[in-house]
Amino acid sequence: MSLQLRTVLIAGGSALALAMAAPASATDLLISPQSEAERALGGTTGNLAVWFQGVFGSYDREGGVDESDNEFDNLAAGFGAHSRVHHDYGGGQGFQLEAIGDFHLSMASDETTTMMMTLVRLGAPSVVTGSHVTIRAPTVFLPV
Amino acid sequence: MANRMWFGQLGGAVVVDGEDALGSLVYGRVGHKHFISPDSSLELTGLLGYAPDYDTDCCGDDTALWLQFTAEYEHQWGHGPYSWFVGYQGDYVDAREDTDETVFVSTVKGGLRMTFGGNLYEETHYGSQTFGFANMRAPMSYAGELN
Repeated sequence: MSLQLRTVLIAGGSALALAMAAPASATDLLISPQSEAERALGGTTGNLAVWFQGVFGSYDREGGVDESDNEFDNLAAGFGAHSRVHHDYGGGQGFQLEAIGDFHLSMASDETTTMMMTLVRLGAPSVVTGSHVTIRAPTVFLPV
Repeated sequence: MANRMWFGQLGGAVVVDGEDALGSLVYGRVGHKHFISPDSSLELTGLLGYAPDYDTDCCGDDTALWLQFTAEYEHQWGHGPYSWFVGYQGDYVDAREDTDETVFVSTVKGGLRMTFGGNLYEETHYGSQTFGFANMRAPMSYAGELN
């Protein structure tokens, strides 16, 4: 059994990401029939989720240097937690913080592996571009 | 009540710690959320990604195509803060060039969610559930793990 911790950084190239000395951003485009009244509400919302998951799949390698490892099934189980808090200053301008923790136990034919994945996502103020389009950019993910 | 919402997302990832897996990727994602009621929603998403730096463990770097489909149903009890959800996620990763390695992974998930600050409809439209995050486990991990 091996234990691995993987961290990821979302790549991008926004002004905010550069200012934070991290090459990280993602751009979200939301097309939503929001009314002016809805966007002007502001306030803080959030959620916390926990889940259990089952994973099954197959793997197939036809080429490369190791063709013998063809087609076997993989079973896995895991659980995770996810929290997200969004604060809207009003008028659609807001800030979002998202944290994800995910534990994964994978059972292959010749190896059992556990893996954890953690992410923190920081969302920058969004930009309202019209009555039905909201662009939230950039979003920064930090490895934990 | 506007009971339909579309969203799009562009993003990418770089693995900064770890080996024998994804090095980097870019992706585009679209989704649709349909509100059966203010307390019940069905969300469908599709994702297309490309990994120019994909370490397949056996055969060095390659490039990979990543496809993902998700479906999730969520129901909030009454008008309270708690909801349950069930979902499916299918991932297909295809190392395109040297390795000819394909992985198909299905994930079935069920859980509980607690929200504050609004019901499911309100949070989705202007709150904390506006965007889900693409689950990158399949392309990040399976190239190096399933062999």
